[in-house]
Amino acid sequence: MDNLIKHFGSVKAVAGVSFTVQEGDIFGFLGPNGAGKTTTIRCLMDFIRPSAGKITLFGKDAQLESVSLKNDIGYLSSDTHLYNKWTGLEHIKYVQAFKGASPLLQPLIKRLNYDPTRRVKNLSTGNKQKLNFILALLGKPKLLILDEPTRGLDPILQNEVYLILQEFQQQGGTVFFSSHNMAEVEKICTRTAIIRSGKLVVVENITDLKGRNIHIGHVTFAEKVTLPELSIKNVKFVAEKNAGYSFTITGELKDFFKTIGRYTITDFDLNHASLEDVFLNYYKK
Amino acid sequence: MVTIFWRTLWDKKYTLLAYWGGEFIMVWMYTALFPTIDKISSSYNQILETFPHSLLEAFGFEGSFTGFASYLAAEHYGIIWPIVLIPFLASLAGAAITKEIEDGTIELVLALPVARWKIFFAKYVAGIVALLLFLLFSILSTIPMAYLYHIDFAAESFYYMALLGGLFGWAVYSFGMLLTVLFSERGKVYMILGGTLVVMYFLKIVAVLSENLVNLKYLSFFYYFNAGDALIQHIINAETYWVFIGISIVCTISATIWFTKRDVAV
Repeated sequence: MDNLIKHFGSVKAVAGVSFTVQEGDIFGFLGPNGAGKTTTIRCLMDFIRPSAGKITLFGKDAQLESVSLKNDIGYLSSDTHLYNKWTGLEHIKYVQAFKGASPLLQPLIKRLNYDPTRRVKNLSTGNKQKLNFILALLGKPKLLILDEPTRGLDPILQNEVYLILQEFQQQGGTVFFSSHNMAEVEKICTRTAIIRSGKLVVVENITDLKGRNIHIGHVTFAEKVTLPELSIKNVKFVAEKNAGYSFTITGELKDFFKTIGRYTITDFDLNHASLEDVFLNYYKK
Repeated sequence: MVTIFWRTLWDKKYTLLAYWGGEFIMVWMYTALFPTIDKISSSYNQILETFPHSLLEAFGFEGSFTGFASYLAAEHYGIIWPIVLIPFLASLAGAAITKEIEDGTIELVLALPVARWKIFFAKYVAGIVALLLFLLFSILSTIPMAYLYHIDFAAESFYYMALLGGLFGWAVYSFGMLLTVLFSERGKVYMILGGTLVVMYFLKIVAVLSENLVNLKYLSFFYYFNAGDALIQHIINAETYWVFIGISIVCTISATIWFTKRDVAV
């Protein structure tokens, strides 16, 4: 994806996003609500057209050659958009008419414990999501584009979905998925991108991201210490009710200890930031 | 493409059966009543003579009861038939694209390896087939019914009426299909389609009632849709062909281009 821009009137939904997903990646696409994740995915799927920029999938232009590309793409929508009056089997037959029969179908139905004979209007959110997931895997996709694939699924089924995605990856497939669930990103993704206010803030390997030198903690002083007195370039302090401060340190700790060492400390703790803290740090910037 | 075509028809099966069946029963009723009506036609004609000609013309009745064709033109095809046809076509057009956008199911369709113009035409042709069957049940079915009730008639009347109805329906449906790709809410499609046709009907009435505004009739589909001429005189004016075919082609091409280019966000 090269400098993708998408405007809706005066609203800049996506403002110059560029990244590359390698074949065989499980790529997590993260961001708060309204950050531009779904807009980016809709551009990838050619549902909406970029205002500027270019998307290339498997060496083909995602807009100009979208029809042939869709033979290789399995897509799952963020909301369960299905035909209420149809059964699961009718959905499956409909998609198979275009994408061909899938040898994975019966094993998938069994693994997800899904009953395809019931009408969609009688299904729970989780069962609708199971059907959505099955439909995305029909045919022989090389790339799965999934917008929050585990939404509405219980933890056991979420794990089953992770396993299926990992098996898909092991067979050479690529997965691009958006999520709000940090734990699942940490669990299965090889790389991730974080988008905020339509702009990409980071694209990194999960291991590198986790290895970032970010610490979080809490400190309480015996005397009154104001925020301006604690002004340190790479540290963000937030005042707490009990006269203490919570803080996030990005990078070296030397200046932090030098500054707080001037005061009498009554309580203190310091930890490496979890992946979730790293994400939240990016979200809040 | 064939799969989308069949699913489009299958998903509307109850609506289609209701309209086809309803029209079939209505035409059957009119046909069954005709022998009785025919016996008292002179009384009817006397009553009709008391009405101003322009008023009768405004409501689609331009002659007198002279036979089966004129009876059906006055009682059914002149005004009731288009009133039934318009919501039928609006329902088909609204469901074709806009309903899919409203329900979000368009994403499922667009994610398939099918070009957008093919999706549009699969749905478009499904509507045209539904229209053709509507013509069969509501107009051409009259021919065997007339035989059944031993009524004197000219089969040509109903061929001409089916052709005129088909052209009118094609134009209305194509306009509806243009609206269905332009808007993402069915309410707008129905409101604009219905509103435009009501305005057209109003223009026809105004043109008949006021000599100064007579040229307004050319802006109305209902001026070109002259059931009396088709059924009784077996005439469809050249301008009727030009207007209905022209509008149908322009709307269809515009709708195809717009659907191919537009953003579809649910």
